Amino acid sequence: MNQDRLRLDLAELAEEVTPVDLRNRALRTSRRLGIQRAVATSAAALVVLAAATGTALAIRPNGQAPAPAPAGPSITSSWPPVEVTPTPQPSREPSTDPSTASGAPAAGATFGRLFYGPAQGSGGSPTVRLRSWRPGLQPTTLAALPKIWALSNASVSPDGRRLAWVERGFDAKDVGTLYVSDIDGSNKQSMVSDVDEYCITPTWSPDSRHLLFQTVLATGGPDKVGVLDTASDRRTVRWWSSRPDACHAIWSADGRTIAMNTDAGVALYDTDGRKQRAVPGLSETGAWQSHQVASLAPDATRIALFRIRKGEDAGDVGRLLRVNAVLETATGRVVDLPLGGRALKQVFFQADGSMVVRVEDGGGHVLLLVDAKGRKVAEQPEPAVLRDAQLIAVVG
Amino acid sequence: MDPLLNEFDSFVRTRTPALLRSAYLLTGDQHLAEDLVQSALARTHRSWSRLHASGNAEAYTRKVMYHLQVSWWRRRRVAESMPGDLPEPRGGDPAPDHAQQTTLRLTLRAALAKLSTKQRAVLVLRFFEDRTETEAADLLGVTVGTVKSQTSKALAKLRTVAPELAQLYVTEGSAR
Repeated sequence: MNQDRLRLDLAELAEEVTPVDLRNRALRTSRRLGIQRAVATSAAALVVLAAATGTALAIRPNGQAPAPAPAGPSITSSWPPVEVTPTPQPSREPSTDPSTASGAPAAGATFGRLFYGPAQGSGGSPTVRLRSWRPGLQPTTLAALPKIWALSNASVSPDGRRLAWVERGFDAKDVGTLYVSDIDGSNKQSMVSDVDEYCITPTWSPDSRHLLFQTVLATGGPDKVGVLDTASDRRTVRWWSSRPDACHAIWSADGRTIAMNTDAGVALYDTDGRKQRAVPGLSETGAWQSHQVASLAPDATRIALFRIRKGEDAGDVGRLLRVNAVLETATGRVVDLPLGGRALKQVFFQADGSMVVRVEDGGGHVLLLVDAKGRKVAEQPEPAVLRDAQLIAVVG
Repeated sequence: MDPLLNEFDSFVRTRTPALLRSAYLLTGDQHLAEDLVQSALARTHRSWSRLHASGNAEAYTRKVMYHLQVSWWRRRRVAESMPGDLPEPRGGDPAPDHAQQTTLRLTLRAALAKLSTKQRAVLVLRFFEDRTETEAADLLGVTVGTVKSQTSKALAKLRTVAPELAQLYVTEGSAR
C-alpha cells in the first residue's frame, strides 16, 4: 500500500485551512461552559432539594410556575394534556390558475398551504428565505434564515403562523438557541438555550403552542427532552423523565403520538416520552432500516420516511425530508401510492389524513393529492421557482 | 496578567495552526474546523490548571477534538451538502505541472466527505498524524479492533467513491 502518497496528499489538503486566532473565542466559550456548569449544578441541587422535601414543582392551571425561576427553562413535573381539537378541514382556495382546472380535487381532500425551504445541496446564498405556496396562488416569501438552520431544523407551526428554529453560532458561542418568530420572520424571540440543532429538533404540537426539543450538554452530547410552552411568560418546560436515544421527532395531528428514529428504525412514543411500540420491519439487524422520518399520519397509523437496505449509506444525523416509502406503523407494510411511474421525492400528511405527494416529473416536480384511502384526487404542477426547494411542512 | 492565562495564550497561539489542519481534514470545512478547535480549546482552558504542568495539553485537546467530532450528535450532512461554502484551494490558479496534483487533492477532499466521521477520523489519525492503531484507539475511545475495521472500511470506501485514487493509495496495506 502506498501509504506515503496518502500521507502526502492529506498533508497538502490540510494546508488549505486558513490559520486564525482562536484565543478569544476559546476563552468566551470556556466562560460560557463554566456558567452552564454552575447553572446545571444549581438545577440539580434544586431537584435534590425538591425530592428531599417532597416538594412538587408543578405547573399551575394558568401555566405559571409556582415560584420565580432562574433564567432559562423552568423545571416542572407535570404536563397539561394536549387538547385534541376536531380535525380541521383545510379550506379550499379559489383557483385562478388554469393549470389547476384539470387537477381539481373531486371532493373532500384539498391541498393545504405548502411551505418550502432550501433543498440539500442547493448551493447559493448562506441566507435563504422560506416560501409558501397554495396551488392556484402565487408563492409567497417568508422569513429569512441562515441556510444551515433552514435545512437542519426550521419547523412551521401547524396553524402556519409561526416558525421555530435553532441557531448555533460558529464564533463566540457554540450553543444552540431555540427561537420562535412569526412566519414572516418578525417578532423573533429567544426561547431556550443549549438546544440540539440536528437530532431532536424543535417540533410543534398540533395546537401550535408547544415545542418538543432536546437540550445538549456542555460536552456536546444530548441531554434532556422537554416540551416548551411558548405562550408561557416563564418559558415553562415540561421535561421528559426518559431520555430516548432517538432523533427527528414528529408529532401526530391528534396530539397523542410522537414518532422518532431510533436504533435504525422508528419508535412511537406518547407525549410523556414513554415508548409505545416500534414500527415493524425496520431495525439495525434487519433487511431494512430508516434513519430519517418525515411525516406522520394524524392518527399515527402511517408514516412517511426514507428507508434504506442494510449496508447502504445511512448518511448522518442531519435532517433529511426525502421520502421513499410510506409504511403502516402497525404492520410495517408499504402503502401503495399512485405515482404514475414517477420518482417519489416527498410526502406530507395533512390533518384530514390525506397526503401531499411530491414526485419528479420532467425537470421539475408535480404534487399529487392522495386521499386517506390511497386514491389520487388531484395533481398539480409545482411552479418552476420552487424546483430547487424542498417541502418542509404542509398545513391546513 | 495571570501567568496561567499567559501560558494558555501561548499554547493556543502555537498549537492552533496544527490543530486546525487536523480539524480541517476531519470536517472538510473552514468554519467547522474553527468551531471544532475552538470547542476543544475551551474545554482545555477549563482544565488548564491541571493540564499546564503536565505537558499533556495538546494530547488532551486533540482527544476532546476527536471525541467531539466522531460523536454521532455532531455529525452533519448539512455542511457537506453546501459545496459553495468550501474554501477554494489557496494559492491561485495552479501551474500546469501542478494541475494534476490539484485535481487529485480536490478528488481526495470530495472522497473524504463521503466517509463516515469515524472512518475519516481513523484515516486522519493513522495517515496524517501518523498515530499507531493503539494511539488512535485511545484518542477515539474505541478498541484497536474498531480502528482496524474502520481503517479498512475507509480505504475500501475511498476505492469505491474515487477509483482514480485507488491506484495511488489502495492496495493491500499493513498495520503498524
